[in-house]
Amino acid sequence: MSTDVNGSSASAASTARPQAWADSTIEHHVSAAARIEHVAVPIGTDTAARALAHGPRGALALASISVGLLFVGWLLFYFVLFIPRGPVG
Amino acid sequence: MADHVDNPLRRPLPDGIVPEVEVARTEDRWLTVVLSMLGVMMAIIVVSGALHALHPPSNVETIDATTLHLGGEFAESNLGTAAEPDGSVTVRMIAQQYSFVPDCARIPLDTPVKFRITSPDVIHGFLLPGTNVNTMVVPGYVAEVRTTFSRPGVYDMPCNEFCSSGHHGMWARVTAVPSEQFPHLSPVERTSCAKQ
Amino acid sequence: MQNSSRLALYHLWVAFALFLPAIVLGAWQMLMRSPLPAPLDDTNAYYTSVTLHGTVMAYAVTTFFAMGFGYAVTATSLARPVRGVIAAWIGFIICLVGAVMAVVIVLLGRATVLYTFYPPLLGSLWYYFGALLLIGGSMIWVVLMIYNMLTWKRDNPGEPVPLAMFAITATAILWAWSASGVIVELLFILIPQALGISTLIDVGLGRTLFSVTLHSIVYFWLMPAYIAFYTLAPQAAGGRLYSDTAGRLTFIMLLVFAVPVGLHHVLQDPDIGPGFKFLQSFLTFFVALPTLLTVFTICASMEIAGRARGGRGLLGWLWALPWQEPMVLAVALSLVMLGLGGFGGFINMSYAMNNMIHNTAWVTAHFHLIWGGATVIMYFAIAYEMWPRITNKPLRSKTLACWQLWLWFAGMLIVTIPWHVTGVMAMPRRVAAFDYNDPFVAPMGPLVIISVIGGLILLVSAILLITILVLSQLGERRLSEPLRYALAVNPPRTVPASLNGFALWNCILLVFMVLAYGYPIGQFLFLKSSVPAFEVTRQATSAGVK
Repeated sequence: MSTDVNGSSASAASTARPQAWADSTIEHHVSAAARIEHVAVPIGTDTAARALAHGPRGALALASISVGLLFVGWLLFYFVLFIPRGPVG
Repeated sequence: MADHVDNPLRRPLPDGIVPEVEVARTEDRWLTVVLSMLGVMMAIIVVSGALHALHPPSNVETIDATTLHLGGEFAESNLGTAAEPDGSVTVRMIAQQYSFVPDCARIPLDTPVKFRITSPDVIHGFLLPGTNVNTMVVPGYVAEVRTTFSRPGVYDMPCNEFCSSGHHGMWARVTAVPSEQFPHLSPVERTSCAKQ
Repeated sequence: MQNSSRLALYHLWVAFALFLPAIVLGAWQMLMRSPLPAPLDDTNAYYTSVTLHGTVMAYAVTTFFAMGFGYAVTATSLARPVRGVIAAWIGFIICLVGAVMAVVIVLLGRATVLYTFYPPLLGSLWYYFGALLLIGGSMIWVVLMIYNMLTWKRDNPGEPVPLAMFAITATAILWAWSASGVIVELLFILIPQALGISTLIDVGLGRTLFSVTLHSIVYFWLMPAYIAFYTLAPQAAGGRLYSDTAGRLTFIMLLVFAVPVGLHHVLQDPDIGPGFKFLQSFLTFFVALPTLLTVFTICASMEIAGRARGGRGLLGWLWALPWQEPMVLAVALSLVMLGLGGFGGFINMSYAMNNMIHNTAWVTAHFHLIWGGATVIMYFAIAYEMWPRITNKPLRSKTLACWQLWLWFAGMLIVTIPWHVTGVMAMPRRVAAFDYNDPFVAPMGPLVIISVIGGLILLVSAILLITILVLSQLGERRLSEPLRYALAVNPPRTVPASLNGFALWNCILLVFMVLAYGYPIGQFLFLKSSVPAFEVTRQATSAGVK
């Protein structure tokens, strides 16, 4: 594991790897998030661009709903459960 | 699922599927939304805290834990409910392993109540269900909690901090009665449930 | 096996080997405090079990897991062996000795002080010494994470540090800041007392020092899970990380805001004034920010994967995700629990609203949901990713792994949701036995029983986890597939120094700590209120030492 980030010679990986990749050595390592060979089977640039054509609107919807529920829940707890229990100090 | 990949070493770095500017803008927009929500929550806490007198009990006052029983404010004769000149009441209790003294306090409704509790031994705590009374009782310090009761009845008062092996048996009670039924106390008198 | 691999594996094995017995203890505790009959019905045993369960889960499992994960991340993301392996092994031995010492002395019933060991309760010296070795020994790991990141930066000038390495180093630095509170408490208050060098304890000072650790430690636990969110999950789903920058900002914000907010754990204390309680409550709102940022960024990253797999519509991409991948399933289940647990956290930190639930069952339910649930389920997912890479043996069965994750999720919700409700009903915490005939306690009984059922489900899930890991490691098939980190939508070519290192953020954190904790700790220099210790080194209840 320690030196075999981008594929080892004894590859039994489920997808076929080009020989060049298996033989590659790292002369100059860069961020794993920057070099495509450190990522197994990244989705292609076109596919990713199509996915994000309208921005991450699904994520915005999902995150907004969750955070919205959290906010409403907090307001309910605050005004329905907490304040009626009386003053404290 | 993946597009076919030829020798990836020769493939140019993917060049901005979505311009970083746009990603940053989306993230910033999201940050603004959540920061606003947090801001509203903080504002509610500040305003309602001021309006409804809501603070965590934060009186900082030291006391000698080893001489509590000898005299002073927490001598046994001074424990229980006392009437203050301004019409409020002060309930003084000791929290010790493994009971509260007195173990039943009587207080009037719709009257400002101040609990003053300390411990001669280890950390205890107490809460009153259905109210916001909840505090730690730390030896060497006097815990002070102020509230007003609006519902009559008996409130269970468990110790809610581990104080060693008898912790689970450490329960007291607070009885809240309408102020007409609460005895009129002289400045030196103290009352608890035992006294009628 | 490579030395780095062995290093990671041994740490992870210690973590999981301690995990399963601690779960058994937890299940027994749930039964003990319920209306149902339990074997070994002894309240002293209950408190000892709470101490042991807490010590193992809060200090041992978490620290060993973080260390093992850290070494694994270092080796894989930097694509070279861990530097300082000898120091790492020395650290491992020290931590292991400390953990064993603490476990044994608690089992002997001589340190029933709970994992928060609030003085003036005083357990055996060996407990504190063991804790000091475990926590102090992990500082070697902290230094090695920083050292490995710095040497890589020196060897790769101008390059962005891989996000996973950046994040685990942030985790390590956070742990150092966090542990400082408990280490000072151990070194200057508890151990001298246990040795008999000092005769009095300033309880307020002890609690305030410990509060430095008490909140930030949960972020030490949480950050490995977030590392998986950012760097492993998008990859496992077949997508891209939406924003590498958001990842860096998240870990920076966690570092800066998680530490100077510990007072919100002692909002009810009579030894801290309202001003600083309010200040730290205010700062606590900012520590919610990185989590809220993460929720969105990870959803966006998953959305890329879902849409790339053919998902359509506003939320239709969710169904297109590869749910048979343990990492993907774990992220979704974790985010649900993070939402519920985070909601509880918002209640806890809202200044006076804390009064409603302080030291009730709500608190215990909250941290079981958010740590035991959201975080630990990611530990499982990380284990399922790491084991094959470290041992070169594939996971025995992804289906079984997914079943194990679902069982954990269901069990955790069944345990914690009724538990939260009993908290709102004002059930006190850390109580060994309740009189369920008492009219106040009686309505809580059915809820507690439901939690017990959930606890048994968790126990089954934990047994299944260990079984999967053992069977995988003992398997015959060979696998050699490297660990893959997620590629960002815009992979960084360069990042500003502020997003590539921690010098600036450490300085800012130092300023925050002085502002937020300077007076709350310094005040004890002139408040000067100390009390004698209460020794619990023997089982019998004896009067405190006067």
